[in-house]
Amino acid sequence: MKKLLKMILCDVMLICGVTTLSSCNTNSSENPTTITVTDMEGTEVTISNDVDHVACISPSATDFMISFGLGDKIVGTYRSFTYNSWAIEMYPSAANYKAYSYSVSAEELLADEIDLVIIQDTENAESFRNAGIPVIGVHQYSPTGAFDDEVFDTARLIGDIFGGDAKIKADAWIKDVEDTISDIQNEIGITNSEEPIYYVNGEKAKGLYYSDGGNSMISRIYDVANVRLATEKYEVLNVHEVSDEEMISLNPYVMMIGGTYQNILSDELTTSEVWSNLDCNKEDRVYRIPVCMLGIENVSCETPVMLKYTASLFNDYDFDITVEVKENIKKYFDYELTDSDVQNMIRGLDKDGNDMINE
Amino acid sequence: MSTILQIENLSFAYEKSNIVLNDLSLKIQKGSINAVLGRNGCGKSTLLDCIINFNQYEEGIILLNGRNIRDFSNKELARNISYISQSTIINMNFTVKEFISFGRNPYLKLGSSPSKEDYIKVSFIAKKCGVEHLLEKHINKISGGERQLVFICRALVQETEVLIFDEPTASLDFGNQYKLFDLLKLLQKEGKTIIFTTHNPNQVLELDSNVIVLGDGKILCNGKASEVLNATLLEKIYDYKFIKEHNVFRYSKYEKQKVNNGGKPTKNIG
Amino acid sequence: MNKKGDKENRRFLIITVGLVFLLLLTFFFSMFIGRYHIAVKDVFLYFLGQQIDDVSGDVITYLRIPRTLVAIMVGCSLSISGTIYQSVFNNKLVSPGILGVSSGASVGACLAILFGFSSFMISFSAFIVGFIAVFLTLLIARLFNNKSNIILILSGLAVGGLMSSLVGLMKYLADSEMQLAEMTFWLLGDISGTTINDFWILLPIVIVGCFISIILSWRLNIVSLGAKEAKTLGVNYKATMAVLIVIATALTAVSVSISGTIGWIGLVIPNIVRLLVGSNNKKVVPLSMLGGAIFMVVVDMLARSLAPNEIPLSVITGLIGTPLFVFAIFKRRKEIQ
Repeated sequence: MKKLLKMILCDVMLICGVTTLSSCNTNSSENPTTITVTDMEGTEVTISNDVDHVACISPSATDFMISFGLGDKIVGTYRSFTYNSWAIEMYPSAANYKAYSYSVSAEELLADEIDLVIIQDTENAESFRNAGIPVIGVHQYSPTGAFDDEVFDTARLIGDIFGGDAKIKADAWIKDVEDTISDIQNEIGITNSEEPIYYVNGEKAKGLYYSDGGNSMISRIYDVANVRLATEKYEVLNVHEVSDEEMISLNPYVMMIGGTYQNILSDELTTSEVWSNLDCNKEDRVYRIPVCMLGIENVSCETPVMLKYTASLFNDYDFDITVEVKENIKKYFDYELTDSDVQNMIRGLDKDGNDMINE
Repeated sequence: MSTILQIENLSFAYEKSNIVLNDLSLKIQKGSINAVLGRNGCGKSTLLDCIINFNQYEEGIILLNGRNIRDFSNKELARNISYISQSTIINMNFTVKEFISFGRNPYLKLGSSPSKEDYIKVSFIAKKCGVEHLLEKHINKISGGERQLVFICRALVQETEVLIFDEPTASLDFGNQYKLFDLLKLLQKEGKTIIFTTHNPNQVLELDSNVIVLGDGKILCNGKASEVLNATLLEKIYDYKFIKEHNVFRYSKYEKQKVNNGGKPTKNIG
Repeated sequence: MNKKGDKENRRFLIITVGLVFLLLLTFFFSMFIGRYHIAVKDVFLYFLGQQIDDVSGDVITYLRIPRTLVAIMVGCSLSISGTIYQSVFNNKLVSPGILGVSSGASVGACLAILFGFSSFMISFSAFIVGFIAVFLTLLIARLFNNKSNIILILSGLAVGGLMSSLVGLMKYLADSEMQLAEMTFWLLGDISGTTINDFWILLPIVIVGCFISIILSWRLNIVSLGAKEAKTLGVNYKATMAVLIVIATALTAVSVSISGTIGWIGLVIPNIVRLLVGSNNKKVVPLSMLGGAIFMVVVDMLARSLAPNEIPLSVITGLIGTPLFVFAIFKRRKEIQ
């Protein structure tokens, strides 16, 4: 009797085992219903192929998704994305996007039926994954060294996940950027310039000194343009913003102010007695960074424009900003900008020429 | 002997239900030593608090030299009555000299501090009380008995007619208690009026001072200790049968009584 | 006896003069030190009214002088405030925020930021709500019929806790990046970005506060003995307490409204001073004023020179303050035992 039971038990376990083994293959990339990718944090993530409620909590990723025809799959985006009225102008559906912060709760996402999270700050990624929502972590800087190949990772990931047309467009963008970089470098050469450019990150209102570190996108852009990000030398201390006196001591050759708060910051710069002493102020070398779908110094479809624009500021490089911006936006967002639109974008203003921040 | 302090129909209650002093009337003679005697919680300290105008009593009037104490300003009252509390630990590390000099406050204008003359007075009083050697020490680094003396010095530099002591012997050892009595007698000789609280009738008998006995919020009697204190009175206050022997109240000879009654106690002693 | 008294007075005088001198020295030192290099010679020329190059001149005029002056005011205010509260509550471990004024001021500032008011209104709001918080503390304490000061301290803790939660709520409600960034500033303590106007706002309140504190300094000793003792020594306890609490609160509130919350000064400086001259507030009050001012100038110098970015002041006061505080306790360890 015992022997019989043992045999039956073994058979049952065998059958279970075989069934389990065969169902294990469900997660292979060859299976038509899911795909497995490795996100920028190095985590393997498995995503179903029919994702259509995306929490795109990354301005760069949102830019890409809208451009690659995936805008209608987005339920919500990082809150500051919609502070920029151009985003809504160029893609009206963005007005319906929910505003998520990095600390949004897993329950909120479940309530919104989110089936994919793309996020720039992966602090809460664990809790989302525990709730059964796949999380793709992206970042716009390199944690280890210069931000080179990783520039392309966000777009590449989106292309891989959604495939089809999106993949084609992602690859096209990657090629566009690579071509732009080699084009620029062919024309202006590669030098190891020490000219310090102080970049002011005006995406959040953290003041005139809030910059970025040496492993960021802006640092890469400056490298291509043969100049140097001023705050790069503090990378060892992880200092991304300096004090008053340090700024005066640095006396950057140029100050570039980007983000939706750029007008407020620019006013601060020009009206303050302290800053009147900066050479860049006296000699009118304070430049702005245009805000299109987002500040173009961010990794985005507009990156080729930013690369050329920056190169033209510091080198003998031909660049017609109006033409280039119009072409880029037409290509990637199928939107016709007028000349005055471009002029407003260049100065961080909205379509009517008003400051985007009303506070 | 004239009356220095007069209390008329004083009533005080902490809450409506808790009447501590009930229609008290009392006269204190100048230059006398008065002991306020009663069991714990009978209102001794409360009475003192009323005299120094610390309590807001609703009924009654207290006169100092014929004047309502409520008509005195803070400083004026402090120039007439000084108060020696039970010497608690002081958190701030004042020197004995500084601490005694606080007694000069009633004579100081706003913004000023003790002058050279004030400090001369401090030294003089300290010498008188035998604590001169402690002047530079910190008030927390001296013994309990010494600290009590320092508190008294502070009251003395206030140069008041009346000195009020709250349970002065509470933290003193046996020897120091008697030294304190010596000091009280000395102060009386100098014309000071002294009021102190105690729950020990034997101390009062030793001093043979005036005694004011408090019980149930009323004055049970008031007069010279040797005349007024008897065992019946004490039984009323303390609910215990004492025997007065050689001018001292001693524990009643319970065992002896039990034996005399054939083993049964004569009274329920709880 | 008098010889010793004279000796003590002379010692006190020497220490006072020494500290005044030290304050002047630190002030001038602060003019030389900074991330932007200015030649010592140029600093002297500047103060002698001579012309120096524009950049150096502007750095001194618009950056170093305002900051240093504000640091002096803030350090002075917080120290006196700590001295007063420690005596009033007869507890050497009390700090100016005990009745909730600092956290209340933070709430006031955050509220004003939330409504988008101007910089002046933010400071004003911080000042007012700081007072309201203390008022609330006193009100709650009154509900208990207990005359002891422990009730006040406990009420202060309760109100302080409430205020902290409100700050958290407001940070949550902040719906723009600008508001959030501004609010965070308040909670860290920061003198960067102060202008000479901030100094002018602080000056009258600090002068009045110092003046009254010095007048009441000797009486403060008696207040520390408690209500009954104070009364029997001729002090109008209630009135004196009221004035002292108002002064200490005003000094703390105005400091917090300009520079945000800065910890440790109000707690540590009075204790250090007491180690030098004893507990007599007649000496402790003026020396705390000087000591606090010097300390704050030094802290600010470090905060703006050690690194390319601004180090929050509370970080430095904590790093320096903690060992100093431990030292002060250590010296007094026998007392505590």
